[in-house]
Amino acid sequence: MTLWTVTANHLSDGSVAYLRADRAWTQDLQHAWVGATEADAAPLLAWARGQEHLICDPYLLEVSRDAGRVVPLSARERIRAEGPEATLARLGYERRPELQRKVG
Amino acid sequence: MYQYDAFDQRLVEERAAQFRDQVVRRIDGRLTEDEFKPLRLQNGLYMQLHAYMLRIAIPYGLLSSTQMRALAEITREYDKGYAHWTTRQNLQLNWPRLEDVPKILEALAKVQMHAIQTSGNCIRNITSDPYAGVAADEVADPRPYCELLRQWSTFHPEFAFLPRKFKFAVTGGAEDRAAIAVHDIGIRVVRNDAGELGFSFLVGGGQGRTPLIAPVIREFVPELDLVSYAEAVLRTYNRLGRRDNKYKARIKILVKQEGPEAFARQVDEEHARIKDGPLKLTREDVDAFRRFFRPPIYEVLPDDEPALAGALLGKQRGFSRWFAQNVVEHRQPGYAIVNLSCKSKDLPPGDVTADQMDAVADLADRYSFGGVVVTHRQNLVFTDVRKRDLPALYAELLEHGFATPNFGKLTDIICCPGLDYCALANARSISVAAELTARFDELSQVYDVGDLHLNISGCINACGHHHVGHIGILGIDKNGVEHYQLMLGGSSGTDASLGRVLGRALTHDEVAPAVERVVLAYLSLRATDEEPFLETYRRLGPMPFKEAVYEPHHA
Ligand code: SF4
Repeated sequence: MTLWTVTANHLSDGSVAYLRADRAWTQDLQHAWVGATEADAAPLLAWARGQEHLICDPYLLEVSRDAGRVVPLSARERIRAEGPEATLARLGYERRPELQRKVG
Repeated sequence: MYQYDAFDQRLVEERAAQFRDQVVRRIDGRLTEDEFKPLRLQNGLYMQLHAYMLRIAIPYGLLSSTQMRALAEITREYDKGYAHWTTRQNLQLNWPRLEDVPKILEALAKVQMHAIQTSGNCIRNITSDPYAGVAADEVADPRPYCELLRQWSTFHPEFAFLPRKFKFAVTGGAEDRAAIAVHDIGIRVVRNDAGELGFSFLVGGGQGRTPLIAPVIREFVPELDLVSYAEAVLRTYNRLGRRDNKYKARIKILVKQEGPEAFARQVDEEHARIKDGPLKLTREDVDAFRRFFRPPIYEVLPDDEPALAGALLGKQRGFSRWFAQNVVEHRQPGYAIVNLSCKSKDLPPGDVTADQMDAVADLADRYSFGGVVVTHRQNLVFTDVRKRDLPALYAELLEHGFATPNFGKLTDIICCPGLDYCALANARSISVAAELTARFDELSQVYDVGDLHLNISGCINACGHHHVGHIGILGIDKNGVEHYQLMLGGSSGTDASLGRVLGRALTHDEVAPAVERVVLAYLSLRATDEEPFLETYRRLGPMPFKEAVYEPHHA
């Protein structure tokens, strides 16, 4: 079943932003507010458009739930949620965007 | 190379200061995102999937070791320690923070660099032959002309808002190493029957949604008319190009619709009006620009270097392979052109770490008069290496990951950032390149696969030049799922051609095995061990390859 959430990119560093239920922004999709219909999400998108001091270009995102996890429907949004798989790991960075600092 | 004068320097410094102020105003809310976006794009700052991306211009791909060190430092300080050479001979940073970008622009300005006109509907970075100035087949060094065009096009007030972006490529060689036929304007330096220098103008080529090979609209433009003729082309396009539909706005569509002859006539009319005006070059202008690109002071050396012959005859198989593959004849006896491969198993194609950049700068100082060129195939070139130094240079390149002996070969893959980074992408390209590299690494050790260009783009915009790959791969989206089209028979060389789609699109897991089947089919079909892939394909057409990909059990 298609569910809805609100996403954008942070103004400060362009990192992925998802809207939480308490109207804060998170880089972790699992912490995002998820609504059952597009109509539920629309007012949150309208609110997000007023958040330009923190984020850029918000839009509605289609997701589903799989074994309790929120999963984006498109390849593009899966990669947005998880970070690039390519160079980072090989250079010793963890993949998840919120953890993109050097490890080890 | 060209050195900024006080005017150039002030220009880039003022631009950096201006952007610093714009960023402050965006962060404190005085500018909305809609207001800020065109301003950041004018400074090469994009928003990608996970972060901002800054595209830094490298005019005609040429860098000094000082500039390379500055890029390394910026990459280390303001990014995550790696960056990406693009097919337009630029460098992209993948992770700059907004507040750091003005600092980056200031650091670039200190070494005569910038990110101006690396985005937007304006004249973009002018690209050229990576062997410019040293190629044996060169009519004249194209770089003075590139620099003239760069200065003419930088902040040209009339061409800041063209119908669409606009790309120039200039070559001076008989062989096309700059893909001029797939640019908005491709310029070839030529001599007429009287022996005078001039330019053949190809206009209206391009890749993307509507790939087209550029027709020649004027066989010979006299040398001193270079800028005025370019202006006449741009004016004609600016006046007649479509602005209502961005998919029909490139000059190639205009040239196709008008027909090359009719388009050329209109350009000629415009040119007649302006050619003797202020844009007319003087001999002194051209000479002044030429002086910036004078050859270095070469040593007088024998061409058959005994140390080199010894190394090639000896048991150093690695060196011999690298020499055969990556080293090219220089026109100066005793010197060679060395291609540094940025395609290895360790990093995505065209990616480079800050430490590698520092190493390249150091090697350039010690082995190649302090210069290095970024190529449209996403590799680097040292243009002036003494042949006697090749064994020592090879050992150092090996240590720093630049000695894969694959130049122009199967694993020298052109690859755009694709869906790992790019906001416009439909599909990943880096992971496909990685899988192909893994598969072909061994294969190319067993067989001499010869020249085979494999080009991958993550979407129709064709930054990975898939249309002109001998084998091209294009990422497409089918209901949110990554798919790929295979195209065969493209070429960006002197015999430029566009690849043709082979058959139905393939999934991410299918694409690498399918390409492998194409290559294996070629190995069994080639007339001789020397027949390159493109010739086999042109001789036999797509059918045997189609069968190999889609009906492997029958083939
Ligand atoms: S070809 Fe498409 S996916 Fe690749 S870099 Fe260009 S715009 Fe992005």
